[in-house]
Amino acid sequence: MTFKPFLAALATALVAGPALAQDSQVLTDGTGTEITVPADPQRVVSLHDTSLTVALLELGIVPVGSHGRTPENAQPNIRSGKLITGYDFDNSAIEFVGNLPADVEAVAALEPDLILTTDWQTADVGQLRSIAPTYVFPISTMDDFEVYRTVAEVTGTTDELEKLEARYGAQLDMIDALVTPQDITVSVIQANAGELHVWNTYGSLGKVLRDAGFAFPAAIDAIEGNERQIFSGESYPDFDADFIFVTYAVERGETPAMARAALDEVLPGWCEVMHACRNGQIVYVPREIASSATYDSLTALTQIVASHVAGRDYVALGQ
Amino acid sequence: MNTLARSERHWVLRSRTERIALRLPARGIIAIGLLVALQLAILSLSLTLGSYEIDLPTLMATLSGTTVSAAIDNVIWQFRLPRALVAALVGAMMALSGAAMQNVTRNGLADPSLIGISQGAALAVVAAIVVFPQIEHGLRPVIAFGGALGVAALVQALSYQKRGNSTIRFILLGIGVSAFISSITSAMLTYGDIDRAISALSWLAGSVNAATWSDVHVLTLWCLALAPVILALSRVMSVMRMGEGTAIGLGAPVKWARYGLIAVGVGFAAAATALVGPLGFVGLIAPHAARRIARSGVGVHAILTALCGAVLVSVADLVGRAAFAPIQLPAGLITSIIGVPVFIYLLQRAAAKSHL
Repeated sequence: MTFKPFLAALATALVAGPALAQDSQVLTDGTGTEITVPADPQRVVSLHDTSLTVALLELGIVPVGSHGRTPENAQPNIRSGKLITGYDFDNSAIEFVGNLPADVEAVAALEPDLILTTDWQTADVGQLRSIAPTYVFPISTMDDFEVYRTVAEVTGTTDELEKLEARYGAQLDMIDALVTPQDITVSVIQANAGELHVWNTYGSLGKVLRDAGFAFPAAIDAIEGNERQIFSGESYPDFDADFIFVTYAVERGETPAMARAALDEVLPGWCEVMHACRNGQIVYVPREIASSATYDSLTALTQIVASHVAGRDYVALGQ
Repeated sequence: MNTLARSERHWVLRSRTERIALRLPARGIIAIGLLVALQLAILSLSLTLGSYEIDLPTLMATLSGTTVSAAIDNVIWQFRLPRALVAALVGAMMALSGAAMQNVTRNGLADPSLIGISQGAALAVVAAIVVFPQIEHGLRPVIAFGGALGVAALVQALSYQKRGNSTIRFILLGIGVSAFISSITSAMLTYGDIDRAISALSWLAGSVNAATWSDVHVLTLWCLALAPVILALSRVMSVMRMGEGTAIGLGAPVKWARYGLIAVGVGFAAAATALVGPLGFVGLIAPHAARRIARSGVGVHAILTALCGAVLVSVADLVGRAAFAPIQLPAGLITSIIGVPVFIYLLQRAAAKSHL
């Protein structure tokens, strides 16, 4: 008779043991710290809107709180949130927990079971870890989509990620079926405050163009790493291509005309210098879509490339 | 038994054997009492206000050692209390640094940023964030401290003359080196990666948000080490107010006092800046405010200065933390917003008095 409770407890442990093991996973975050995170987190707080919150939303997790931006004379918002996912603070249950630094008390008040933060966020990681398991993403040294993949691993949503990757692969195949990307040169440029800014791979737009296999000018391929490099107006011809992509920030009220004016500020009459501009082969893309590390952005960008590059006649560089 | 004798303006405190006697300015002592009371009131308010709503009975229960919930314990003991204490300590240290610098340079506009301490710390941390992002967050205080001390040593070395130290030379070199360092910092912020630059700017604004008990311990140790030095130097400082030549004539060890005051000023500012970033105006305003509150000797003035700095940064941090929560305004921004009008008012009041 005295063995009955013991046997019952043993049976419970044998049945529940594997389930308990699956309820959490041990991971090593960007600071080299081992943390135990729930396998299926229910109350996630994200402390970077564009890198983490938007990815979470696309992976099907609505965080209980998020970092956001606080533009002058405007309500706090999730940068790119509404444009890419439809979610923002004003139309969802996502609580705004501050900007830089996030308010650790506001985070604590949400009683999260998982906190995702970055090396960019200045809220103290030690304080965050005292609230809930906290995974730190070193976004300043990580590729955007590497961050995305890690978000999926940490939140147990890799199945969802696989579907998104499969969709993106099919979209690249679509471009490949329409043109031979290796025969077409492209570049992405941006002007700001009288300077020409160029990256080796400009966000999601650069990813689509490189993954599809388009050729880039040697001056862009020569940019090491993915740091922004600044050039003078004299360098414009180095970035000429069959198609040039120019970005403009919708959320700052910018338009394609403003982007053209900014390029003109760097070198008046730039359009006459550039083959792509002379032949109407400039493609203007909202910066929020071009730079957002999401699969919805990749969808939009593959469609833009399909219609503006693959789906038209053009004058090739040098003709 | 100690005895206390009162005159109209001073209280004289004598030991039983009358071997030690202190003549304390009545107004100064009253002002110290009021500022201590004000500081305690701000501390109480800091424990009460915040994004995590905690009612007064719960707060009292938590402070008396009863755990209402682990989350509330965490908010009170790990977030609010160390933060409030760090704000007070940092304010006092920046204020005393300013007082030391103003005394040694005999220039009322001297503060830690004048001789490049803040700029040195800023350059070191911005370089770490923008150029070497792989460096861990936790090393920032050490890096900032190294930068602050390095620049202070550079200015001191450049201003050294065999014929004796010139205050004007020291100040001008400090301004020049500060400007040079600031331009390098600006270049890094302009041409560095935008996300890293934003992170660096946040640190540059000066914030107490990440304060921990470890910071409280470190700052307390610095205060315990440096505050007695400044009090010990108060006699020499009072003579130095009359000018270097007069002080030397009266037999004061001016040279060593100068080195001592610079070391104390740099130590206070470097330790504080290393932990919370540059906090503008505290070192400039607090000594002036203390002087306006009560005319006193150097020792009492140092205590008043420390209290004024503590109150100023504590108020700044409380407002920055709670007024627009969850948006966190850095204490450095608030000290500047509060500091500039107060400083202008103090200057105008002084000017008006001199006309009378």
